[in-house]
Formats: sequence, structure tokens, C-alpha cells
Amino acid sequence: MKNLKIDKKQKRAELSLNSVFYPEDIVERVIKDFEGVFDTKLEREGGRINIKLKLMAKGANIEDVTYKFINYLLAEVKNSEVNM
Amino acid sequence: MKKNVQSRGINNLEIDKKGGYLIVSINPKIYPLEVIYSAAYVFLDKAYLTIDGNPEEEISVQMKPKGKENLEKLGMEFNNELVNYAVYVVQATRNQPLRKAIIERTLLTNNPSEEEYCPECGAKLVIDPETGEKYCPVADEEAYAEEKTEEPAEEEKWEDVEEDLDFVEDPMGISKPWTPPKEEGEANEKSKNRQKTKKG
Repeated sequence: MKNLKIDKKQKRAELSLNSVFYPEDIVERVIKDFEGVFDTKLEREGGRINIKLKLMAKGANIEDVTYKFINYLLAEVKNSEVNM
Repeated sequence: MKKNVQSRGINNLEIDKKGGYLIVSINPKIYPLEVIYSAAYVFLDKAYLTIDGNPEEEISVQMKPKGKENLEKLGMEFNNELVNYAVYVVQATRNQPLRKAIIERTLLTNNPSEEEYCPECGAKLVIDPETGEKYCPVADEEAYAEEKTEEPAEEEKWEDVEEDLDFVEDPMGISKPWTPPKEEGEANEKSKNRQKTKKG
């Protein structure tokens, strides 16, 4: 994916999201939900939100967990919209 | 160098075989954001998705299948889902006034504060489903009972019977009484016996 960089060796991932599609408050809430899984850093740059993820859980695959994080975030965004 | 393959049949799909993902480009004027979110939500169990792009000009959905699914097929299925939700949104918008009216009517019907009572007998008024007007069911029942108890005049009764008889058709001759044909000898003996008993 263009907006996702995964470093398997370092167990790190960088995700860049458009704040129009992913509201900040929901991103923050989802990061809180993954508190024990990732060590997270959030940066805002113009209309984008950059998330740096460092996997904390031992034995887990950084790629799998990051993609699950992405889908969980999208589901939360969709469910937050009342009229959808 | 990254090789991007554009799907031959459908020009809104950009497939990256090396990266194992595809990008679906969507015009937000045709498919609003709520439609895109809904379509993406359906694909959450099949693929990993992110939404990006310009919400005014072009929205792009990046999809990476969870299994070994064909990328082009996945993109085309996503396009179908977009159409599906777009139709749903259009229909929902069209039906909105009707749905509102039905809900309002339902809530008003069951609202106890809106109940009215007959000033004469105190019974709860009922709404006529055809006309929508309120009426007293007790008064209505009484009127019906009166109508029923009024006996028709003798002439009217006979007219009714005649009318009923007109409708009775008997092409098979069932209504006529039937007796088995008797033999001549038997019939004569019987008539003689009767005559004897009368005389005796």
C-alpha cells in the first residue's frame, strides 16, 4: 500500500492517513484500543495524520497486526457516522 | 521500478501485482463518501482497505486481499458494491417522506394523550382505516343492532323468497320427489287390499 511502510526487522510501521476520511478523535480512540499492542506516535502534518507504530507484543507479526489496525480503524470510522 | 497494470476492461482499477494490492479510483460526485464507506465496510472481511485522495475530485480506495484472491476480480466486485449502495441511498432518499409519514402515523395512533372519547357514552373513539375519521364503536354497534332487529314487512319477505327461488336452477330434476316405478300386478293387489281394509 502506498500510504503504509512496514519494517519487519525493526517491527515498526508508518501509516499516513487523510484526516478528512479518518477523523482525529476516532484515530486517537483506536490507538487507545491498541495500547498494549503498539507503542504509538501521532503526528499531524497539514491535512494528514502520520502514525508511527512499534510492535510491543512478542511473537506477533507486525504486518498482520498493522493491517488489522487499519481495518479496525475503517470500521470505527464507518460506524461513527450515524446516517450511513 | 514499480509496475502498475491498468485493468483492461475497467479503467478505474490500478493493479500493483508486485505489491499485491490495487487502487480503485472513484468520482465522489457519482459515489458520495457514505456510499464508499459502506462498500468498503462490506469488504473488511475479504481485504485490508484504506481510503485516500481528494474528497472533492477523486477518492482512491487501496485494497490488499487477505487471501490469494484475484486483484482485478476484487476491484470489479468493489465497483459492483458501489453501485449497490448508490442505488440503496437513492431509494432511501426517495422513500424518506413515506417512511416519515408511516412512523408519524404509527406514533400518533398509539399515543395515549391523543386518545379521544365519545361525549355521549364515554367509549374510546376508533379511527376508521379507510376514511381516517374517528367514530364511536359503541354507537356504531347499536346502529347495526337496530338495523338487524327491524323485521321486514310481509310483502318484502315474500319478494325475497321469490327472488331466491328464481335463482334455484334444477337442470337434473333433483328437487322433484322420486318413487320407484311399480309393476302393474303388484300395484293392483295393493289397491285391492286397501279397499278391503277400508270396507272391513
